[in-house]
Amino acid sequence: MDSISVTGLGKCYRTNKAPSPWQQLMARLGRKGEESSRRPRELWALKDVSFSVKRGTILGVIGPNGAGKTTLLKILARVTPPTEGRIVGYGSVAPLLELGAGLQPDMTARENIAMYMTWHGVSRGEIDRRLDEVVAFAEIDQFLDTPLKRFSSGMYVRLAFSMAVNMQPDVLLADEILAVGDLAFQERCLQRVQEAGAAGMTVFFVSHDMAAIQRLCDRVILLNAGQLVMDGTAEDVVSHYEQAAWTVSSTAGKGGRKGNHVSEHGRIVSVRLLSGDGREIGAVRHDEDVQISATFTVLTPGATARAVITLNARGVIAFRTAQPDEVTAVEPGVFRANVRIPSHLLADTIYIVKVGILLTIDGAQSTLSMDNALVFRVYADHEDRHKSLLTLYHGSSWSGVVMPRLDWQVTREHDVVIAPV
Amino acid sequence: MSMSNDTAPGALQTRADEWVIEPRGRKFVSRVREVWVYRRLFIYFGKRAIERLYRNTALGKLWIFIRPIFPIAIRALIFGGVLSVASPGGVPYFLFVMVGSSIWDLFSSCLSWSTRSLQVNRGFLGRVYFPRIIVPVATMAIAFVNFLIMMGVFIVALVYYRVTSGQLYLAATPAHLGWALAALLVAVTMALAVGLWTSPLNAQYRDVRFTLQYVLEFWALLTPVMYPLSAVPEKYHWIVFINPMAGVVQAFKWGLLGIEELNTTVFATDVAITLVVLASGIWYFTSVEGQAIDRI
Repeated sequence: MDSISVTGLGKCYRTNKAPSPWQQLMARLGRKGEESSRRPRELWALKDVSFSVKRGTILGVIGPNGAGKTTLLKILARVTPPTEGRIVGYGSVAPLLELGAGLQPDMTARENIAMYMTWHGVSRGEIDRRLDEVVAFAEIDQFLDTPLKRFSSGMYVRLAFSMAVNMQPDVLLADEILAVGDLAFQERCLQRVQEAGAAGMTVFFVSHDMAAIQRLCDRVILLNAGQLVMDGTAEDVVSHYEQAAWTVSSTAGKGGRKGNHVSEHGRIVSVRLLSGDGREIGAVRHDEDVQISATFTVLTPGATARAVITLNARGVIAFRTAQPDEVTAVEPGVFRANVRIPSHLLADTIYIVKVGILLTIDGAQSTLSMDNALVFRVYADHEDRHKSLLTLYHGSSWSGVVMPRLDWQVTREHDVVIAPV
Repeated sequence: MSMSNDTAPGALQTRADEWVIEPRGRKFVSRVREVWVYRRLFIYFGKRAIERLYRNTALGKLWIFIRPIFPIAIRALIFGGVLSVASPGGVPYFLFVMVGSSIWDLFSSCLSWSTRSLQVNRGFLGRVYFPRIIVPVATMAIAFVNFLIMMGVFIVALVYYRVTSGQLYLAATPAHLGWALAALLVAVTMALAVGLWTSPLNAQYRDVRFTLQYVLEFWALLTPVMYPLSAVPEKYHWIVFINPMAGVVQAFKWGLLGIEELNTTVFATDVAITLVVLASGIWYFTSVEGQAIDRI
């Protein structure tokens, strides 16, 4: 029986800011030429997506950044309305979007749990009983009366996941729940999702972690640029996805990007991921070189510029690197900073790149920065020797934030001497 | 929750827990029903608004009392003391300004808080679904608390004047109190009605909040809050009454202190204006709430 069926779903965002009433008025009062250039540009985050899901299915949703995965979940969670199309579904829906689902940082864990359950119509007596279950699963017993703002991101997501699953919703929307949290918990998360699916819960599982997708999902849909590209078994869709060279450009000015990438001295124009031979890509293999390329303009003559990038993974800084020598912009111009990251350094996880350009103008410092400038995934398939050795030893496919192949020397030192007891 | 109510394969798919998501919002009746389902959130958002306001303050909850009392003291001092505006019917000027200010402040802070409400709660709106209209309504709780405290001060002042001058200034008849309550209801409804327009607008253009501040200051001067209507020449009264809040404030003053006139025609017109604005506000809010959330 269908749990959810989606027909012709589309969501359009206006990327340019709509002209304010004041600007509209000014445009009408004569300066007609500006009117057309100010018209908002439309961006279809989802277009004509149709599929249906049977009850108890764990549906993997994969795709490169900007494919529309999160938008799909947000529409299902009713956080944002669709522009066109229709969704029919059954039963209660528990969203786990952007790690938190409305948790309150100022309230303690206990208060948050009580609030969340009250929201979902759990009676008072029932709350006390369930509180123990939630706390036990999230492993936060000592921190029950600590405000969430003092929680680590791992504890935070553990609590959120534990609460959502405890509600036993008919549909669970899980967006990148594995992006933070320690390995042991991720493992339990996966098991819990698996059990829930077997018990009849429909799960939408968005992840960049192909190993988890393959292990968990009965069926996977692949989105790209807002369209449903492929729908099939986990094995088929994941291998198709991994082989395809996704060319996703990431240009400045798109919504959701934080930082100050524009100032009077210059701006960061774009940040892209390139393969070793300079093709633009969206994901990279562990055993291949990769380049991060930041294009920026410097407007003030005589300014010196130095690029810095920070790679974040699993909620921590994996590493940072800075351009050793500054360049001087004698004339204003467009510059490109390329940094090559050697193969066998990055772990098979998702990296979030932050780019900073430090400008020095007459001795004064000024910074351009772009947080979340680029998000990309590194994958290591089962044939990757380094990865499989690690898996063999640690008994888990999870790695840290870097997985470097280093120079090892193992030599025989001398004979074994049996010491007298 | 409804894991158990599984239906046999092939059964008709018209189960009670079916839901539909479409671009256009749902029908009015089902929306009202939905607000009822989520009614707990009124209390939640109301409490949250108040707690949030006094968080990280050294005086903490004391501010709840200080904030409403200070402006009153200042107004009484300037208008009653320095400018010596006369209050009608021999009522002490402090009581007069207290009553006018309490209903006006209820209206203006209901309006300014509901205007900001969507912006303040954007973290929530982007993550979980619930009928969005609850937010501007519940945030007005801040204004209610202020109002209750002002009423407390009013009662203390009444007792003080009773003891010192032997006179009870309260118009303590059921009819008077009934009119006072009606005036309060209209003031709050009017604030909500305007707030339903301004809160989604403010989500998009923060200019709204600043503009509103000045509009409210000016509006307060147009309304007989700190001066009696008799201070305005009779032939200009109709101009004063164009402002729907004037009739409401007059009715409240008449209701509590029995002073000035109760103009029922004006009041009835105010009620009608309020209802029209409210209906248009509900229509506007429900038709743009989705877009407003995308743009916050």
